[in-house]
Amino acid sequence: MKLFRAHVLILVFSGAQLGVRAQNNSSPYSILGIGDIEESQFNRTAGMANTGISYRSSNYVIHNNPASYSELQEQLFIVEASARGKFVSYYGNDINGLNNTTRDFSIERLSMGMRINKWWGSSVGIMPFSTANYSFSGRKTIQGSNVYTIADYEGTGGVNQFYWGNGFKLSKHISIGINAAYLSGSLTQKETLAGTSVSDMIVTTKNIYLRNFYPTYGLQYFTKLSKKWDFNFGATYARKQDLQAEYSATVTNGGTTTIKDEITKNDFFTIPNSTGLGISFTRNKKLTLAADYRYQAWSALDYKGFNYSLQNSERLSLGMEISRKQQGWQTVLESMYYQAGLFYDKSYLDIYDQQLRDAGITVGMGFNSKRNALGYHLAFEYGIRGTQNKGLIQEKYGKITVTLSYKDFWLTKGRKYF
Amino acid sequence: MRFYIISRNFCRKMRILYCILAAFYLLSGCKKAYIQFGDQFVDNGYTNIVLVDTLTPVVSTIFRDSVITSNSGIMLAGMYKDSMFGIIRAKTFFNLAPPALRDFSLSARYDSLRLILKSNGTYYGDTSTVQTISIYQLAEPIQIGESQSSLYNTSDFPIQAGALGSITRRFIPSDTSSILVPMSDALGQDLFNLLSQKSDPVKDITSFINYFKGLQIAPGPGISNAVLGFRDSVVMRLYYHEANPSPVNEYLDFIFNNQALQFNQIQYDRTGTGLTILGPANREAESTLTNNMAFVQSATGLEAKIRFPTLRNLLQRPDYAQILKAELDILPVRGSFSGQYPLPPELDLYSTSLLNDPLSPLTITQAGGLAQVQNGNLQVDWLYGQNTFYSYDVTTFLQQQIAISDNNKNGLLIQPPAPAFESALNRLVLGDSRNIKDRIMLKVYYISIQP
Repeated sequence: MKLFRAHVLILVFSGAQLGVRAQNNSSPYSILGIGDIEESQFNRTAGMANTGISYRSSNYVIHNNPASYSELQEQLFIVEASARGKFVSYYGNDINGLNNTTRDFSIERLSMGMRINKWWGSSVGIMPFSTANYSFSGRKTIQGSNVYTIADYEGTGGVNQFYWGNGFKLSKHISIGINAAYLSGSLTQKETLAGTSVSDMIVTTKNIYLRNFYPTYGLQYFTKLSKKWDFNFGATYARKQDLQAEYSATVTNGGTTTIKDEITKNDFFTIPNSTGLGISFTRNKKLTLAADYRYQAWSALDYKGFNYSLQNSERLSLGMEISRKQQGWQTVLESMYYQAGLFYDKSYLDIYDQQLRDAGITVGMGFNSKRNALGYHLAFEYGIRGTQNKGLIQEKYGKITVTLSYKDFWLTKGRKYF
Repeated sequence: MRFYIISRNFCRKMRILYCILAAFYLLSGCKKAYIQFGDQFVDNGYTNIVLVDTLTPVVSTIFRDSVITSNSGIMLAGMYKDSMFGIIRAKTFFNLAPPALRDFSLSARYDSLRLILKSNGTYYGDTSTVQTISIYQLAEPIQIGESQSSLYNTSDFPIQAGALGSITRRFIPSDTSSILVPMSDALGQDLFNLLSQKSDPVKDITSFINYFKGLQIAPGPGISNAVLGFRDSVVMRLYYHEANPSPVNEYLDFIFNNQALQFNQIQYDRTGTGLTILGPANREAESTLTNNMAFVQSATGLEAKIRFPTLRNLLQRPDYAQILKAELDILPVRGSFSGQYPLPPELDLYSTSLLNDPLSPLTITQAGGLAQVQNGNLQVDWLYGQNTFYSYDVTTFLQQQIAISDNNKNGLLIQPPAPAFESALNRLVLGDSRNIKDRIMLKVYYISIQP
């Protein structure tokens, strides 16, 4: 048991290290709003285009819908860690062919799940909610003169969610859940004005610190349609929530600090009503076909800027999974599974009347060790985001998500069997 | 299956996983692209650099009673009439040391006495006309007054009536060859007799100065149009000849003695100019009283002073954060300078006490960290006369001044560095911020931070 803990620690630690170095993917669009809202769930559903609102699993933490936690295997304790590597190529009028790719790799999610009693499953964890990462340069005129200076902009940061989710089985067919998330993070924009004949380098670091609770409610209905077919229905809902936004700024001129961490305003950023619906059909508990639809009502919030606005976002995804199961002692064990999925996403960004779209396909596979408590999951996603119309940027990207899950019994003494 | 048996297996699998992760990590690395997109969306209004040129400096002319002119190494003599600064008259005072005693042959006879002057290349005024300078003998020795350590442009010592010599010619400042001024033969014969008899007055310097108090070089008689500059290596040369055993021409030199006692008297008569309001009773006149101009001619006691009383208006701007740079351009008024009346090639800005005593010149830190005195980098636009200006970096000074909250009277004095300060007559007429032609200009760049 100590050895397992050591390995988990090593993984978490290396993950933390990677996390510090990572987040290098330039995402030019993340300058707007609260950055790129993370659509990936970094769990077993990654190979099915993150389709999982109606998905229930006994061995995996399915964060897509908190109601699913009630399905977790009794007395089982699960730790999952996910890392993602992302490769992006950018296309557009102004993109230089030599420097148009980025790549990075980072740990994205850590979570634990457990079944507390017959009707209650619970999970805690941390994962990204949104990320911002961009860099570009522009010009800035010295006001009152016709001289300009070069201005470099760099944005980093993001909002993370720390969550505690609970799923409750109300009856044989219905389960409900609540995911109590605390969103917290900061978006930092650094402006560097190059030195001129009249000034040294002036660096302005603006920081928006966002935080608040953000609960998501979930419902799942599951039943047998026939001897072979199972049917699941899932729904999630999150109410409009204001994130407190504290704006602060630091300005340095040459080596001297002009303004240090001055809080410039206290405001809020609203996350709109979000709804998700999903259905899935499972044949012989082996083949699963699932579909999800997610909707966020951004338009009503009326966020607008020069040439852009936030619009209602929609995401449609389809996924399938084939699971290979073996009869084990007392129970059925899953040895391998294969997944595929596709998605179409209208993001919340609308630039020059072009709503930013994202579409892609995913494949995934996973296996559970027969000899020990580990499960491995690997998913690959390829997608195209944005358009080259109106001087915009198109991103073609590949993402590889690796999820490692470790299971152990808790509150059980004596021999362990897998 | 016992747990510890599994763990070996588990370790193997974990090792494989670590390898996958490590390979993945190395493969992907971290590479950031610089995507030129988004500048239209960035809220870049927070920090700005703003140029303000409406903080008008206040300019005034300062009057000084006297200026130390001794020990400058330069002798000024001459006179000219300047429509803006009045009549300027310069005389120089100095004394001489006797030559070393020697034996004369009985046949030695006095020939002549000459004062040998050499131009130092400087002049002020019009040198194209013929003018006269005369040499006078002092009636009293040059002495530094009690409780004083120098001699001034206003110092004076009486002379004996009648010039010892004079020369009338066109002086060409660039011609640095010797100018020989014929001197009184009566004096020459006297000195020759003393020397040949090895009399007491020529035995040592002190005795000699008791006997021969010194010389004054003065303009005139007649019209002069320029003040001329001479080197202080002046020599009074006594020529004689010896006939026996063969004819030989000889000379003895009375050389310049004691720089500390050489000084230039510079007199001025400002009647008829706009500067008459300045005097011992009124030592400072704002430029508004002198036709929106200020005047600098340090050797005659005129200096300009610049103050920045509106500087703290910057603090009332809600976006003001910090002065980045401040440039002060001083513009000579068009037509006030010419080839005859050139501008001072260098002007320093001195911080000053309330009594207008100069404290220290403004410096600028060079790349190597060396502080260098700013001398204005005079640009002269001879063609159109429009882009003639001195420019200064007053950043540090204004950064200090803006922090002073009480009624700030601190200013900067404009004056040339020594030795031009006391021995050059180059003058500047600068326009204040309301001058019609050429205005002093203060450009302040500050960091603006939107509130």
